[in-house]
Amino acid sequence: MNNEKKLALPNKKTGQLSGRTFNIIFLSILLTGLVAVAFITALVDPLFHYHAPLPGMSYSLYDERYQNNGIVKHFDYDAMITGTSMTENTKTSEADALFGTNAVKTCFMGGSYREISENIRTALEYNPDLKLVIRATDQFDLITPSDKHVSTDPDAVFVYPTYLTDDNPFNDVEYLLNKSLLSDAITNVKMTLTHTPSTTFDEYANWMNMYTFGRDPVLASYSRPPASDKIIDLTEEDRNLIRDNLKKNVLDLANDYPDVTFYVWIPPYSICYYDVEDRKGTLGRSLDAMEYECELLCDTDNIRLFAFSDREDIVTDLSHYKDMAHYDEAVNSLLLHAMASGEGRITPDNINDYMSAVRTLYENYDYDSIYE
Amino acid sequence: MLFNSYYFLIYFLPIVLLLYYGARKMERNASFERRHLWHDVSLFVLIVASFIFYAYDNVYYLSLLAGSILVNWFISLIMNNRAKKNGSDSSPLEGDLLSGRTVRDKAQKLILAAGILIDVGVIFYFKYYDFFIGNMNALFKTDFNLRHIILPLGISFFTFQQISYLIDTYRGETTDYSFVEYAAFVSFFPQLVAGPIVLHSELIPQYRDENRWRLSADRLAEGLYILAIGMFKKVIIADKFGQVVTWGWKDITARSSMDLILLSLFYTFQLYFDFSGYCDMAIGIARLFSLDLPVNFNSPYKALSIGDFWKRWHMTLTRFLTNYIYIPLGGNRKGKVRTYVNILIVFLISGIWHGANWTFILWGVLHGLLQVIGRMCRKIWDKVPKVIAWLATFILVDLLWVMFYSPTVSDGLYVWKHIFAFSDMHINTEIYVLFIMNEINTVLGMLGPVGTVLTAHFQWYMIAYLILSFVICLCCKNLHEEKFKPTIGKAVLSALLLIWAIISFSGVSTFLYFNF
Repeated sequence: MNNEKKLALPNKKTGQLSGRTFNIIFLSILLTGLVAVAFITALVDPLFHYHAPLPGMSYSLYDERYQNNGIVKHFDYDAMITGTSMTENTKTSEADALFGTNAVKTCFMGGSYREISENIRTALEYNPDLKLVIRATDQFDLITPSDKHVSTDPDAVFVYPTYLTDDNPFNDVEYLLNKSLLSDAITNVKMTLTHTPSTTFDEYANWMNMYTFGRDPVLASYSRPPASDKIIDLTEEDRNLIRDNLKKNVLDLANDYPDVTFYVWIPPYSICYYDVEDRKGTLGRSLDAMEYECELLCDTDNIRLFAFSDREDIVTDLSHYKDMAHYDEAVNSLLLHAMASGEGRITPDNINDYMSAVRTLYENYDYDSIYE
Repeated sequence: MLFNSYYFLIYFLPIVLLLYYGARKMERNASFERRHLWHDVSLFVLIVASFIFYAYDNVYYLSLLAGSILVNWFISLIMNNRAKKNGSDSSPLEGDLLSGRTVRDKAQKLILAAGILIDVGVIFYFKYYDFFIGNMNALFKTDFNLRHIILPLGISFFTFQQISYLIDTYRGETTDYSFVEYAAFVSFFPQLVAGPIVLHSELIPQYRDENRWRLSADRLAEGLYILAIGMFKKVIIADKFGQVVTWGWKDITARSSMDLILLSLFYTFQLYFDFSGYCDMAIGIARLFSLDLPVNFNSPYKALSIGDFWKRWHMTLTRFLTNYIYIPLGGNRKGKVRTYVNILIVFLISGIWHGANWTFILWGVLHGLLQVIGRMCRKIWDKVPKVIAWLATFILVDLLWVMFYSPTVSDGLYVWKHIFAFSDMHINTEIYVLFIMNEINTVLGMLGPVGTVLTAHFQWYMIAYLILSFVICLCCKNLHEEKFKPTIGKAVLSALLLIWAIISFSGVSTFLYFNF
């Protein structure tokens, strides 16, 4: 025993330790350091993986794919707004005023139907108070396989943080021992100390101030393709894809949760989007797909379907767009108000009227006038 | 599975260590009759662990590793049996007596040739098939289909290791190994996918050495220290350089001469810290199992000539090429011209081994030529002042790494041309930006005005990286140069560096997808 104690002290001349003492120092520092990092991250929990925001602590909302899962699992809310970037400028404060709710916003930029629906399902599983889901369904991604997901998309150079969305506790180390997320936890502490308020859901993922809007930026954002002689129609295979995509990612949710109301809406892309479709010979296909979506979704009790592509005043006013699809937050606000008042609702009774107006608009529009 | 991953370090390694030493403890305490069984169990733990390690990334290729081990063992078994038979008959058909036990004959030579052919055939198919067919198609205007085969991890390493084993078997040096020992030697996970290229005579006797069946505090200390330093070299230094190099090479035509000079330097450091860091980790992890792996890097960027460089860089590959190719070709025993030809052959093979691309072949041949020129001018070179000799060697090695990295020969030539044009000496700001370390900025944010100034003048990150790299490469003693002396400083520093590396394994991925 004495011998061991002597060995534990560094040699006075060489400063050399015994291997045993080296190991004790090394492993103590290593374990203490790792436990400390994990503890701070778990305690502050910048991704809300373990708990809701701590009372009195300021939080930054900054990354949809890292935070949306935690938000729907642990926040206190009874409504959610979700979709792609077409919904990111929506303000939950407006929704709350219109619908009398306490909403969160969990959009996914470039998100597939599946990615969005998985987040909604997690929300429904974790939060029995959730009664209203306001969710956009993008046309660009409608005719795609129902299992499309960014985690398996080879074109998206993105490592999906599956350790946040799966039930495997062992891979939580990727969250707990992660310098970037430790740094985010520290940022939250600094925000708290400097009395900086948390990001609101009105601000979260809102890109309104990052772009300029109007005809010039819209026309600069794409090249008008040459007119094609080919007409590409909606095939039976396309219809199967749409049906499967909507069934698995929209209808099943509504059927599994009959007490929850789903406001599903089709974002109105600008007239330029349909010009490109027209030039490529896919306009008919695109409109048929929209009609098929309306037919499939308009007849479910707890789904209220809204569509606004017949609103010529919106889609032809490029001052509200930054590119052929993305509109500013004024449009998000307008659509929210419309939905709250029931305007733009598609039912089995008016589906033909709606589609007829849409076809009249896009099939007869003088697209060349956009560029004059 | 990578060493620099949570699963490996936090779950896999501790569990395997516990199981291994548990089995070794049983072996130590077992009766003489049962020792053999527990010896096999201990090694079986290593084999299973190594197979899991290998299969983690691609389970299908596990069959390739297992098959390769089985086939090579079988071939070596035939050779050994034949040698024993010849030895006991005392009537070799033809051949010479190597030792008291074994005799080789023509049939053995054929078996050896068949074994090597199988190994080379496997490596050719998986690594060079597409390259060969692609060149055939280009040359003869044919249209054979490419197979786009995913390269099995570590195939170049475990195949070379087994080729050396077959040759040593032929030489009668492997007579009393069991299959379990052989499989544990080839598959031993610390060295399986990136070397060092270990010889059976280095590892298998250690498996049998009773002194290594228990983990001593000194070995644990040394293993932890080497592992931590290796991890730091790989994760904090090499990966940062790698990030900049990847960015730079995405569009070389947009880079200035100065950018390209820096990129070549960054890659020179990336490759060294990446590979030597990985080998350090392998050596450190092996030491945790009380096993010593051979040193693979001996401060290569201190080299004063290309010949000197190859004595310090990837030393176990150089040893393999020397022992199994250069010397059998006649080495330097058959006159000057033949020596030079032999050197060129060895470097050509080295180039081919490094990858299926003309860039590697050109890189290898140029290294061979420089080695030959170095030999021719040795007397003059010895008189050159050391600083100039070092600088010339470093620059040559650095420039040749450009071709090594380049996806095509023409891209490599483009970079060389634009480096020597010295046309635009402006440094792209993105390079400085990529070197910024957010965690250090977070710490600087707590330091008041000094921190603010340093955060604003972020250019210092790149300069610090270069200075640190030069200091480590040129001024520090190699980890393996002298016996490890544990000190408080080393314990604290290495533990902190390991923490830093571990919390850097998993970053936050940025979603780059700008539509919808």
